Amino acid sequence: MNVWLIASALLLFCMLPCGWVCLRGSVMERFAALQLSQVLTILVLLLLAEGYRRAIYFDLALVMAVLSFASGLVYVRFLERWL
Amino acid sequence: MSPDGAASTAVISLLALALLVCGFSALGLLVMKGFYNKLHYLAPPAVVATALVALAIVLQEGMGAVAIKAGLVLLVMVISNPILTFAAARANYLRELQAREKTERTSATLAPESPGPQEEG
Repeated sequence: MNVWLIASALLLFCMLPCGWVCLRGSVMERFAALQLSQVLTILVLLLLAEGYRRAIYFDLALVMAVLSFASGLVYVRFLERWL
Repeated sequence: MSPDGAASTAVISLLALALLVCGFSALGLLVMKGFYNKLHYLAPPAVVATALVALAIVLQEGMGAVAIKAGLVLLVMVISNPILTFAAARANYLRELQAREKTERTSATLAPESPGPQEEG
């Protein structure tokens, strides 16, 4: 257990407010909470990659960052038109 | 990757600051009322916290493949966050506009017809 893994575990607690807003908020507020949780997930993946000392794990954070951007745009387009 | 896992004081401070920023933003998302107010709290973790974590990784590992990957993640976040925020705010505005137009159309349909000119005599 090192400081990176401890930081990633602590960062996971920041997702609790996002979960609460996803449960209780309006549709667009849920989208904001989802975006924040995606950002937090990317940070957790970065910290875990450094904590486990595996260089290849950084690719996961990079892919997650790109995919969260694309998924956010698709989702917000869907919310704008149909839902 | 560097062989030793010991983190310096600077790295620990940067990580603590990143955690503080993320915690503050998560609480802001929870406490603030309204979508536009909540939307402001997406930026600090995406830009500041990611920059702090990337800097901590660079301090720990030095300039190498790992630091470049962390920098790429930061670059993607810095570019994507304003675009997503703008798109979300625009979507919310269009949704409100559509809802308002629908309400006006419904109230115009349900409103009773105005009485015509009454005959005198």
